[in-house]
Amino acid sequence: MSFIEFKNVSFNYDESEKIILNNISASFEKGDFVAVLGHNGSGKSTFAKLINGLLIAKSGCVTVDGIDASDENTRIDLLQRVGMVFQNPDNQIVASIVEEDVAFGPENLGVQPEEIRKRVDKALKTVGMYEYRKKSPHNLSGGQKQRVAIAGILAMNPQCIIMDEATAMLDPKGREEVMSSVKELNEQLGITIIYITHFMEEATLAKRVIVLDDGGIKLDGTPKSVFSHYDTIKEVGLDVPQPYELMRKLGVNECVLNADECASILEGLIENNVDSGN
Amino acid sequence: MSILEIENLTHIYSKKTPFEHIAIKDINLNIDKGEIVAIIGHTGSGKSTLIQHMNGLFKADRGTVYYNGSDIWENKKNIRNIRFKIGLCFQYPEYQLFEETVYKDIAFGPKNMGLSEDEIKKRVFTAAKYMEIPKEYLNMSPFDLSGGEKRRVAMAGILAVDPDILVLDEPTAGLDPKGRATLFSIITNYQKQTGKTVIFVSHSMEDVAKVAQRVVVIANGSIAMQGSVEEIFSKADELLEMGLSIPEITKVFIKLNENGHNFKLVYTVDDALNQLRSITEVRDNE
Repeated sequence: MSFIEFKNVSFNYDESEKIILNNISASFEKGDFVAVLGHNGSGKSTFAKLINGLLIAKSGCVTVDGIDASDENTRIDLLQRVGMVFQNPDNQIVASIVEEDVAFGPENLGVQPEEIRKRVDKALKTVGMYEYRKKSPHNLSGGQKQRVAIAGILAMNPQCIIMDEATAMLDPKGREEVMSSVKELNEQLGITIIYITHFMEEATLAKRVIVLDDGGIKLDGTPKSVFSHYDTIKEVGLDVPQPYELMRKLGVNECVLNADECASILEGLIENNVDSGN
Repeated sequence: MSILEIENLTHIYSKKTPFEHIAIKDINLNIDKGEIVAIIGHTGSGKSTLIQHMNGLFKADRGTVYYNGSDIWENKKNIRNIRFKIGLCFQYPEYQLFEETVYKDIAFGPKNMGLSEDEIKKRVFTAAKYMEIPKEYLNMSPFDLSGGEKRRVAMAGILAVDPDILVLDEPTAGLDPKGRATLFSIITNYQKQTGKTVIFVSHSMEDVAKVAQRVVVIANGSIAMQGSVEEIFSKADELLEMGLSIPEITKVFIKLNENGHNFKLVYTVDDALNQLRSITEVRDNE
């Protein structure tokens, strides 16, 4: 059995309203880093909220580590495994001191004080915010606040973190800070990451990308294989990273997602051009 | 003459308390009529504080804002009219929708200006047209629309007041790529058709490169630099230091030049293509 499993999952908010997710089946393994893309209203957030039981499937079944996400009796077990970071950094900080905010989760789980101290310090060090532990969160930048939010989840020893457009309100540096923290958690601690975003550049850094559209999973695969469906990507209201856009327009069909790779292919083209006697 | 002139503007939050914090300091900025100006800067740099001075939502601790040559605070009673002339659109403006129908929501501003029913109607239709809101939406509840549509309705509510200057705080935050592209093409078309002045804040360097005629960079409450898209994005190292970035496509050309080539730096995919055209033409001929 996979770590996260969607079996024929459908969801709509209201019987009379349109179906947001329609008979979705998918599975994600432990240690996966999955970027979830889709236009506004495509059901990305719904998809995420079904994983940690904030929403319950109307039909079908979602399980995490074998726990049925719709089962009230095991809700605590589920929430200990899956943490979620939301879009607005100011909406998810509850305490007036950074380290108290990070301690909020484990305190509510009834963890012993000495253990909480250890977990809080470790979590803050992991996201590079340890030196800010005595500071007031409102003086932090957006990217720093999101990293504190991530630390708050880490202190609960999660197996999976869901980022629900957690970089949407950040500046370029903040986005980079959050992305590199998340990558580290995935690579070094093996935490499963579900990363919802509208930034295509961020999706290229994931191990796997899924594209939601019209209630279903339209594309699913490595970043290269997903973005190489150029026409489909554009049809569903998304975009491809600029380097690939340039390659396409130059008539190169290889899916190139980052600047360095793009530059080296261009170099090849330039040399070719020189060789052909111009 | 500049349509908007900001002189030595300083704003301090929580003055005379232990939390005292200088948000913006000695800002000097001129905006010409008909310009599209982008303001970029790290979070907390003071961008939002700055633009809230432009229509008198904030009163500065020091310094002056001139609209068409006169101090906007010269006559306190006149500040209401200034706010009709300088339309400010907050982040996530769709959260401010409240009326029963799209029509009523767009009409709220002109109604408060005391305009006649006919004039209000004209303005609602014109604003809806600029924002590409279909006529049949006008009788719908704004809450039945998608996120991107709601945002356009909220912005139409500002256009209906018919401001001379439109100031937008991160107009595309949270929108998908297509929504972003649509909204920016709407904004540039509106500017072209009306000749009005547009100032927008953005964190997307790609969008700034595509849309702006001039870029103002704010760092730690001061203007760090300003200039054309070319002038600003050619200073990649400084931008990175300020928590900003450059378009992805520019990184490609910086890399090429590091490897000994001598390309002019580009900031949009189309410019890149123009510069590389000679290479592709050769390929096409082969």
